[in-house]
Amino acid sequence: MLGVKLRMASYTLLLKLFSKPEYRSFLSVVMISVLTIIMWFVIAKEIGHYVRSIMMVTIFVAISALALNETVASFTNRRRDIAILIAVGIWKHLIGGILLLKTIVYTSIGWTLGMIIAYLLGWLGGISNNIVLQQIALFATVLVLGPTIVAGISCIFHTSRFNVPEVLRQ
Amino acid sequence: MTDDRKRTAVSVRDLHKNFESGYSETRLFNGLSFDINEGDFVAITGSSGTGKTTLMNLIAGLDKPTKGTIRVLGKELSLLNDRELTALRAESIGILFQTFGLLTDLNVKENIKVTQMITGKNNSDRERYSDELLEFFGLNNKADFNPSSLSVGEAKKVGIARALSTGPQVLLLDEPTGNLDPQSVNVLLPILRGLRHIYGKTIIMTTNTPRAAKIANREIHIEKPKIIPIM
Repeated sequence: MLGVKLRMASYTLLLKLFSKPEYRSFLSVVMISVLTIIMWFVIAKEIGHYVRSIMMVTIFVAISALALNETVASFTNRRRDIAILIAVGIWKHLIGGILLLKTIVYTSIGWTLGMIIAYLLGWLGGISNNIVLQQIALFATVLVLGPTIVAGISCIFHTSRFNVPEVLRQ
Repeated sequence: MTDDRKRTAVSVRDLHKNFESGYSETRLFNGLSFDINEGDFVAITGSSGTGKTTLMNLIAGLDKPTKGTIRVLGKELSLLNDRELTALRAESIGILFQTFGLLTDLNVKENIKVTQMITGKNNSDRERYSDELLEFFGLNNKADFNPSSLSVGEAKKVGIARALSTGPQVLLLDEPTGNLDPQSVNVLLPILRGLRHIYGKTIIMTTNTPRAAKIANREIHIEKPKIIPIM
């Protein structure tokens, strides 16, 4: 019954509460953009297969770490608000879902900005962007899904272990 | 047994809650048992550290007892899963926190409305009920204010209004008169009396203020906890 009510209800206030931009989020977007630009040029440049693989894995780990940092920081900075909302009857996994959505949105913004900037830089530098675009498409799914899964696991972990009385006591 | 006999809203049996801290264990409640009927206004009293807030958390299903059972509106809390406990709080229990628990990124009216989204009411109903509550508590002119700009007394009123916003059957008020100056207590006590008479809710209130305890129709006193050294 609650599930139906939850689906029917509007969550604008919760989104307003948790989507407030923070300086940390801005830095994450910039870092993800930079990493995407680096990835673009790693694909474009003719470097060894082995070195390229290492660089791609490094970029994947770095973007995942930024997504993870975003969710962990959201939980840490919003501990009190989350505890209050759970206490008044808002399901904790709904809050976790909103924080995950926020992370996905910021990661996607960083990723998209990085792609646009890299494409423009490549165009200006005379790099064959069409070939790079084809290769990027191969990695895109992994580089978007990977950080999302990492952030999702982090959200589930944090919401499951959230101790409301302890937070409210502080 | 008569038909008009009140039903039990909250039933606590043989309650124990232990906390370990360092080299000692604090044992709260020592087998406390009581029943609270629907429509009762009960004051939970006791000195600081006796576990009044912990008892509120236990009744709200936010914490689990070490031993004993708690039934709220006929449901035994230990048998409910996390989702069912959340649903019980959303639909049947209103809570005022000792520290008000207001969300500082939302204004006063939004703080009242935030809990209403789980009631399934449509937006116009929510808007109307929020306005009614703001009027009842004399906060109409502060609807757009940030909670951090309110006085302690006003923040408590917003906290109580939010607790009432989902139309709960049981209202848990944790120190509603705590940290208030005498003037604010004078304003808040008639409101608490009004809650009992106008809304007819089951109200459980923790307090250290004898004046506040007097407006309740029953008092439950919690004894000091036992502190046991751990070897």
